[in-house]
Amino acid sequence: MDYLSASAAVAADLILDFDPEVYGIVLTSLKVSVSATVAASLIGVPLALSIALNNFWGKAFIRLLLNTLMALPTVVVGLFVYALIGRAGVLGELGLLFTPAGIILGETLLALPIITNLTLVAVETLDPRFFKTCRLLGGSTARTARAALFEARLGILAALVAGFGRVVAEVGVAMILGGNIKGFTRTMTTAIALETSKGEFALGLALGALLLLVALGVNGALFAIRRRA
Amino acid sequence: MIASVYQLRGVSYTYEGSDKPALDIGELSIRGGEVTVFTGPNGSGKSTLLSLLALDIAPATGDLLFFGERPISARHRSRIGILDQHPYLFDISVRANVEWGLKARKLMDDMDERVGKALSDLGLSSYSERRARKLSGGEMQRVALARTLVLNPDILLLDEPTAHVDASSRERIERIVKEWVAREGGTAIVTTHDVALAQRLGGSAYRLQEGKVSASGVDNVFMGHFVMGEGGVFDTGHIKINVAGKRQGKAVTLRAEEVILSTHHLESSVRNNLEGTITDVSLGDGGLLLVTVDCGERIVASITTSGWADLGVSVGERVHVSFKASALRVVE
Amino acid sequence: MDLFWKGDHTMKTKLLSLLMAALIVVPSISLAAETRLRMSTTTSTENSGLLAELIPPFEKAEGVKVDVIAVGTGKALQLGRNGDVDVVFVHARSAEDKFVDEGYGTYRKDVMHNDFVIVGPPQDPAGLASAKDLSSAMAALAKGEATFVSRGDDSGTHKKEKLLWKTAGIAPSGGWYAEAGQGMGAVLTIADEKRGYALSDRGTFIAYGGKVDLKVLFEGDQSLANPYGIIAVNPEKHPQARFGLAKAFIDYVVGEQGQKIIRGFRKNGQQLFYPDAIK
Repeated sequence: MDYLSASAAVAADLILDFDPEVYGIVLTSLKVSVSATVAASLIGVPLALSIALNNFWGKAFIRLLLNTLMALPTVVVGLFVYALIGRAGVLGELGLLFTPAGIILGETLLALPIITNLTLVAVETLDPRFFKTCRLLGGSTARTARAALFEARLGILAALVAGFGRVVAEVGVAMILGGNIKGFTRTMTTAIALETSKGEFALGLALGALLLLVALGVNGALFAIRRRA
Repeated sequence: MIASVYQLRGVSYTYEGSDKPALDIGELSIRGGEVTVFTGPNGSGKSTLLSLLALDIAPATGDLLFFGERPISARHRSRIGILDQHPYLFDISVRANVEWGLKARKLMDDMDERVGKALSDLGLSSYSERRARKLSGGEMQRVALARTLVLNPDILLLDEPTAHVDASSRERIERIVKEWVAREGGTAIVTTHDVALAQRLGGSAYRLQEGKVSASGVDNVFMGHFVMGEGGVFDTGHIKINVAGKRQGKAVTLRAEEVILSTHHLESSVRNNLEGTITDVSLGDGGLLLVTVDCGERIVASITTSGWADLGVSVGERVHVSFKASALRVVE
Repeated sequence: MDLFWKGDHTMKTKLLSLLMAALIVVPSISLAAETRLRMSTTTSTENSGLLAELIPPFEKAEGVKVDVIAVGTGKALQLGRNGDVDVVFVHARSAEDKFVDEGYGTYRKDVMHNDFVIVGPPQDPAGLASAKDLSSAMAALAKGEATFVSRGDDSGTHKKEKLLWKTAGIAPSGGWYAEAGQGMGAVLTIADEKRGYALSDRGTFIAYGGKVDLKVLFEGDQSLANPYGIIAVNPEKHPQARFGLAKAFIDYVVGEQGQKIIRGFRKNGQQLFYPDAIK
């Protein structure tokens, strides 16, 4: 595989020479993925806490729904949001299609079920004595939720990392909603898809390697935090 | 006259999937302003009783009145403080743990002062900024007690409070509970398998056995050691007791109803025969009298009122005390 | 995790929220700053590298950004229909006319052309090189001696291919006919791997250069011409479309400077596109 090794060599150069195009794409990817993860956390974590700490009719169904949505194909989310934010859609006026904000919106929806569900599991698997103790000490639901957020922080952190992992590695939403616009909405994954279709493996390999590096970094940080805690 | 904090009438509780009630109480009232101890082995219904008293579960049958009322208001519920045998501490500092309940109840006016006092009472002042989860079992138990007491409960429920703690923490916890009862007029209810603890805490004692509360649960506890070379002789330092069976342990217990009082030496197979002065006679539960005799160790005997009349003695007089070697139980 | 546990929960929650809010707001602000012209186009213009030379001078002169969304011609036109772009740069003459007739597009201009070629393995198992005209070439392919990889993505190239089969009176089907549903580059790669044939625009094929072991085996027929057109999205259908900017861009592309860049664009030493507006 001469061609592959030649591509790998070029890829290594691109990474080590801090090629501005490569790192611009990485930056766009990180910006979009981090924003989506944060947005999904801001919605998903409180949502999970309120589901975990309240008993209500239909709770089992919501759990089932969340589990199902975790497996939602990225292109389905992409299509759904496209219908929403395209000019013909109800949010068309906002002009979000083919912008980073459009990708963020789609990826937020993608990460939301994962973050919500994994946070829910993290809180519900807290020591049962935690809930009893909060009740005995007179903790309101809000105060209990805040304490649960802290007590389950490692599990929640893992939920956020899982959500981030999903959005940073997906290509469907970023392609459909971002349009792979150079220097604007081109992410690591859409660039890899494009480069592959062009037969340019070097840039694709470089980005693939960096994507792995990002995943490694994030998961490594989680691992280190867990070991120290 | 101290009012009853809890009154239980015909209370029973059966867990789902079981056909035998875990708890079946005829009549029981727990007085306020003192320590009440329930002793019994594992599975005797101690934790069920505590859950009932904590108002966590409702009795399946019968009535449970709390401060004479039923149903029980949330306001009364908040008067109960609980110390678990394995308390859950939040993964924050010791101080923040103790502050938690005060903040939750919006009692922040003199919070620093109250927290400071609770910490110093339990010898935790120097630990206040330490991470609670990193402490030893005994220290964690003290943090949990401080966290409960800082809320000024009227009733304190303690479940095996010293089962898993070191000697110095145990001493401290026992002392603080006794002081709290004496000073604040609090009501402490303790469940334990440790009869020695029951003895040390004093107050009313009950025995739980297979879900039933026995009216007289007073145990005599003797601390000491078995004498080497003399099989079955336990030396308390003041008296020697013949013990049948196990010969390893630091304490032996004797139930009050096993103790026989007589005006003269009994010629029988009973192996423990002592003599002493009656120091106290009081009314126990179920119409029985509790007679305390000082034979070098204080020994409590339980006796019916007619038996007491037949005996024809009174406080300050000498009496013979006897009990079987097989009536003694050895505590490991 | 000593960093995490110390002190009160509240403070940390607030700080965290603030940080999160900042992370969301910052990228949203930055994307509102510039005027952007959106152009949907075919993969052939983008992948060949032409747009990378054609667009920057316009961006510099006008102080705008041109966002290129490279998709198949079918989808590029659909984006125009939906009003999701301001200008469409494609190669499918009849579809372009329909787009304009239906009122979605306006100000259509011919930009340039190249031509389609049929490429295949140098061994040429179907004997395409000896075909005397397009119809016999198509018939040779339909014998099924080797795989024919179709774009199958409703792109301009795909539309052209379907037209060629129709003209030759052949309804392609069977194990030899593979619809990839992907872009030109991917189709060339697939054809290379399968030692099969494909219809390609010359530009992309040249741009692919030595990456695939394929040869041009049939070319030059009048029906293989591949003209590119540029169309502004009609502001009467989509009032938010930046018609003024779209018109300026079209004028630039068909004007002196744009046509000169197209003529001068080389890949592997070969000219890929031939300007039509100014010969």
